[in-house]
Amino acid sequence: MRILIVDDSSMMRALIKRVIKLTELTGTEVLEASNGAEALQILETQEVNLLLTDVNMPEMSGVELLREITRRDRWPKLVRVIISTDGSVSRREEAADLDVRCYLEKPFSPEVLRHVLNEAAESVHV
Amino acid sequence: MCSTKLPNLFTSEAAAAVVGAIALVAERSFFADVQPCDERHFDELASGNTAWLVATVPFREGDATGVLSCSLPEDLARKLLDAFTGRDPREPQPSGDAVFDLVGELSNMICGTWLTTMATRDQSFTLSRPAVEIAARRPDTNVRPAARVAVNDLPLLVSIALDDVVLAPAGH
Repeated sequence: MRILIVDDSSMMRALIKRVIKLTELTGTEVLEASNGAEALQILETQEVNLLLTDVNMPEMSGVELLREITRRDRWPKLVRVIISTDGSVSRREEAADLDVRCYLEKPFSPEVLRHVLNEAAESVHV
Repeated sequence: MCSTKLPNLFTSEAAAAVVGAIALVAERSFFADVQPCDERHFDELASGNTAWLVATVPFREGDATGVLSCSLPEDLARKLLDAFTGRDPREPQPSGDAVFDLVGELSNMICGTWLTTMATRDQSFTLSRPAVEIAARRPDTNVRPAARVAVNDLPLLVSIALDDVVLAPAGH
């Protein structure tokens, strides 16, 4: 399974990578992008099964990325997860319209992220 | 112009929301203890620290715009980084860029958590990328902060400026 982490914070990407290592997910490869535009470039060239994206990022936000993924309609099996500080109801509703499987609010404990990862991985069809 | 809820910042509940946001972030992501400080205790904690970092996060919620700032000693930033990443003490010291990134992410999470608490139900918000810099000196205690806390017995100060007003702590 190939996982793409999209976050402008290298520290947050490092934390998520560390938690992925601690999960029982086997055979995972982790890719990283620091904004939505970089993530789209990766999606164009490599098969990705699980997308974990922040919302507020420079150049292209996570919501803009998800809208573009939906518009292009090229990755129907891509499992999408938002990891964001924005826990507002309107943002969650917006995410639901963008076919987001899980919405994880920051701050989160590593245990909660592990749970979300395991749940999201169950939806992945490799 | 302000959203319908943010003008209510000037209440004890609003000030408590700032401390609550710091505590939630510190406990969940950094496994750290947070205690509110009065000015005198904060000064005691701050007096032994010479290298300070300050992160500012511009935000927009509806028609309201503002900036949340976090000031903390570099020593605290490095300890939080170790907790966040699970760094083994035998590993090389993280770079200055990694410390800046960590302080930016900490401030981002505090701002987002606080706004999630304060935001109106149907109102999402946007945060701009945090700017982190070395402070020329320790935080000015003449500027009234939104919250002064001790994080694992080290000082952290949060200020919030909403347009041309500044959130003051309860009791001031």
